Amino acid sequence: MTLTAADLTGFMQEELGIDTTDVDPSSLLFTSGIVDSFSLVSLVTFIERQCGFTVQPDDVTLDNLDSIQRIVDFVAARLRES
Amino acid sequence: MKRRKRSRWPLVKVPGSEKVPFYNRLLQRSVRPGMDPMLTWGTEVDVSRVPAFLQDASQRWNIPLSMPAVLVKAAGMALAAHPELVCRVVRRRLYRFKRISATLAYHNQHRDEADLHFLYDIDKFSCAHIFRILMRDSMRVARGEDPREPDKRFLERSGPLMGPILRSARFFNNNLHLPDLMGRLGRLQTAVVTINYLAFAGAPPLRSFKAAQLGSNCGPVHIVLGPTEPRPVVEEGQVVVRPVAALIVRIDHRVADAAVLGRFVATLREYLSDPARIPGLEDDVTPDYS
Repeated sequence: MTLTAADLTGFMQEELGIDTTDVDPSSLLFTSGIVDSFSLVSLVTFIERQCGFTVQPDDVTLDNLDSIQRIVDFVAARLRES
Repeated sequence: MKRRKRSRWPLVKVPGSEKVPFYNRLLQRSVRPGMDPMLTWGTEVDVSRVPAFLQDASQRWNIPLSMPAVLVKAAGMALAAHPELVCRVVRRRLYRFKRISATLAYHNQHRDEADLHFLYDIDKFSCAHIFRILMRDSMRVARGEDPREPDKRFLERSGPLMGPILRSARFFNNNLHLPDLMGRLGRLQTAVVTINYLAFAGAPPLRSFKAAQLGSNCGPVHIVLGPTEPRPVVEEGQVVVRPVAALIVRIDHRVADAAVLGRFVATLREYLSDPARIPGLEDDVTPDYS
């Protein structure tokens, strides 16, 4: 199981109702306010569902989740570990 | 980090010198079940500094910090600054809570209904720690792990005795110094403050809010922060538009009077209007996830 940038963009558009026209893989999602805190749990749940692992509270950091590229890198690292 | 053992007894009797004030004592004696001894104070908070604080704190602590965690921490420190509110009435006496615990209402998306987060020691945990606890609990709910399951199983097992059990629990809770014997239901009774953050998508501007009072005397403080909206504010004689949120605080009048409530609301308002001024934002004194 893996997660691509296109999967994440599709999820943000369809499930979170975010206009992703100007969102590129390096856009800052939380820091710039594209994704709000109410959508954080939905985003993490989507990652868990797609990738089959549990995201721990300590993993919920800007380093791991603040852009599409960081999420993809985080997922890839977690999948490599497991 | 040092872990503190949790006592099953959440309250300690307030010494005689801190007895309930005279008029509040009259209230205690006259209030019967079904009557509402609550005082409410509503005000507005200029939250124009909050977005910059959230952005700065998020980067500093490397987390996508959200307003509910800040609100919980602000409530904890405001209560720590006004310990006269960290009490509840048991029969006709005041008992002081040993710890400042809180319940935070949220929408359980898994079941599409309201539920409560429960947090211990909100005055001692850092804001980042509170965020992680909320995140952990929210993720459990999103995975379908309902925190109310033990309560539901307990009540289902009791069958036709459920009503008498709940009525008895209410009686003992109102009239005796009751430990938290009933699992999560019991723990929820040990919360000093119930917090509602009502800035969900589509929430209309908030002018007034009357929270439901459950059939027990516990939870003497209730805090509601409404959605942010642009409002006219007078600054140095000029009318300017600022992002403003309604702040409504309700307390048990038998515990304190309007002067205490007003001072508490002023402290909380100050913290929410400039969260950088909340004391102990980064302190973790005795974290305890249990």
